[in-house]
Amino acid sequence: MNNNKLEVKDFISIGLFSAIYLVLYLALIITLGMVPVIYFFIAAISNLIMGTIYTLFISKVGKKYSVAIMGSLIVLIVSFMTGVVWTKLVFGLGAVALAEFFVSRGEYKSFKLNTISFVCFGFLLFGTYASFWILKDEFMQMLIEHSGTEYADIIATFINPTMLIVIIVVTIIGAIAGSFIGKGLLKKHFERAGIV
Amino acid sequence: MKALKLDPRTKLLLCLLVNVPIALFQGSSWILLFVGYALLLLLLSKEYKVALIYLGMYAFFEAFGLISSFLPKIIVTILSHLIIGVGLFLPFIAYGFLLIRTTEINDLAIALDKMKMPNSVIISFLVLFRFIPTIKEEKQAIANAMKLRGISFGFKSLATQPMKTFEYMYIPMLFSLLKSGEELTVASLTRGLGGEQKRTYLRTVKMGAVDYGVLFIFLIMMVFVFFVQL
Repeated sequence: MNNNKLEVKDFISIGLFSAIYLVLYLALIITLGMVPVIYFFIAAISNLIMGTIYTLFISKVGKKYSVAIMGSLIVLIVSFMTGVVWTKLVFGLGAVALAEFFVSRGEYKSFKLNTISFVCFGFLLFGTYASFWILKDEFMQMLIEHSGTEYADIIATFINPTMLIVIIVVTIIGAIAGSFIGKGLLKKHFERAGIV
Repeated sequence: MKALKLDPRTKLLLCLLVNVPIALFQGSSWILLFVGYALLLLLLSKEYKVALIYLGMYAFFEAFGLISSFLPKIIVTILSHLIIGVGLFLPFIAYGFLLIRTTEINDLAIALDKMKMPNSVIISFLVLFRFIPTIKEEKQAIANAMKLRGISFGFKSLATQPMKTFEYMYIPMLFSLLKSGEELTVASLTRGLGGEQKRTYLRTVKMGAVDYGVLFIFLIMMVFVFFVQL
């Protein structure tokens, strides 16, 4: 780890960790995405799990732009799979850029900055929810034209400002907890095995 | 008739471009024109099944709006996030289907290379797709190994001991994936991945007349709807 330039070995690690992230995230969406209110907290729940991946990833690769490449790959693939709405790209790539900024500030070693970085990283798929709020008016207009005001009102039950704040706060808490879980598991398993 | 084969770059561009009409004409039925165009391209690519699935999603969305007044309020509320998720992203999903279902990963990698993407992105991208089936295999292997020690990964164990079940599944998986990542690194380095020379490809990916035609028609449609809306 003397040179700070990404090599083939690191490219493969990046691909590997992005693959785990994607598979776990899709598994969560498929199982929990159908459950009403929990749907909005999938980002928070996934952060609990992904904290370990993220911690392992930065201690394993830990070079400049590694987080940025992994994050952008995940954002782009998920957006192209579920429809490229500009909100997803803007929020996702913004979150990834912030995460890369903080993590490189701490030289990939400071736990505090890694946690802050993971909090930003945890928002990389937030654009899906954000589009609910940003594109709300037009969508509601369409629903009203289609099926009437009453229907639109019921559908919009969850789309209110309080809900948005709750989602954001829970996602942040999930990310911080995930970072601590990651640190614990890393110490318990990976450091002992001499992998990190 | 031969199936339509578009350059991945055309499809990527269409996925991004469709944001413009949807942002400009959101809520008007002109969006249907763009949805129809994606469906037409899907049909010309002979992806009948995908087109049918998409039509099914659309029908579900429309039908739910129609029958919602007969359903109890609580059911409508419970399903609301599905309605929003599907309804909001429907036009985008049409173009997403077009990209995913008609593009091979190899072609996409070549197209990315031609778009002057850095090597780091392309290799990571290829490794990602290479590993998705491996993860599934590993999961099964770990589940079998754990069964030998009397640990099962069912709904019951997840409900009673979520943290432990999760740890027993997750940690071995990360270990074995790290291991296979190392193996892949050695294997690909001996085959010259990451060398100084530029890679050559067996397949050809080129923007042809059809690609420009498809993009041109899309632009014409956009301009047309823009002036009609005025």
